[in-house]
Amino acid sequence: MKKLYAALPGPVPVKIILALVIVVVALVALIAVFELLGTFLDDGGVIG
Amino acid sequence: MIWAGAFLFTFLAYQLWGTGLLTTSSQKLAESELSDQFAKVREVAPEVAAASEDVEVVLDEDGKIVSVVAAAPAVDAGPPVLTEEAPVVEDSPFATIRFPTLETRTDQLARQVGIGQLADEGQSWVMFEGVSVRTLKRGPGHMPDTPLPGQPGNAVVSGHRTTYLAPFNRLDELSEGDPIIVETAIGTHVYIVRDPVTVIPADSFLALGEGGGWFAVRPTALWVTDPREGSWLTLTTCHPEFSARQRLIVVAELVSGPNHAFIYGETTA
Repeated sequence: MKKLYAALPGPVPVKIILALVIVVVALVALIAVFELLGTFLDDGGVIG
Repeated sequence: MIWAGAFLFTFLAYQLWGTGLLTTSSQKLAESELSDQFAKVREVAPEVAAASEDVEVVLDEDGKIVSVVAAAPAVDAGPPVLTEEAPVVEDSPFATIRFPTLETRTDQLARQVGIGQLADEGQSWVMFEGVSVRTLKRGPGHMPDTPLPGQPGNAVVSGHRTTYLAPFNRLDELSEGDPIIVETAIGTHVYIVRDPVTVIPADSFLALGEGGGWFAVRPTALWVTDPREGSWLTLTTCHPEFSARQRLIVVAELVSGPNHAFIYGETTA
């Protein structure tokens, strides 16, 4: 994690903002994947 | 390996508990919206208010129905109270559904382990119009092309079994004779679970449930939604648990409610 943070370009404030953006994007992507995989567990039980 | 384990754990935690947070807040919001909606409908349509008296369902210790007290007045020889007075809108709440037998069993279990009565007020779920992915995240959804609960025909309602608070998780515990109570703007409708074998040809099932209250079909079995004589409620959910491979179906018939007398051609409810 520290290495990834250090690899981000720019001064510290820019690095922090970039890190936050990356974390948010990763979380959204993770939830999207979870939602997709979740349909195999339970898709709501609709007929048709 | 550690990352794979962390992914799996997070995934399961999200599915089993995380998704429930959204449903909990949706249900809370919908409860107050529905209560306002019922009051509004009964205010502008006095005939609906007259037909919407509370119905008390008396159960025995096993949660089986004993009697229906103070049934709503019969609509003798007149039209049923139709949905024009209480229009439903896509993705909006329009009714609640309760399973008194399951509440009774939960209470019995709670008393056995010494934590008192859990389902004091009764666990009811707010139902929404529509069966889109988005709608079903909020609670059980009514299939739009089928009649509304309490109306003549076959009303179909779907719900999650494992995720999003799993409103239909325990449908497999229902057996013949168990009551299902649906409250709409026009009143309280009491349904009784019927033995599927008496309603549907036995060769249509993939499996028949223990207790005779449910059966399993393929997700594409559209015949489940076909119209039926009388007034029926068909509940559908995923089967087996933790899989969307099949559908678990419960069929129940209306035995009391504002429209019962009209639909079944009786003089009293």
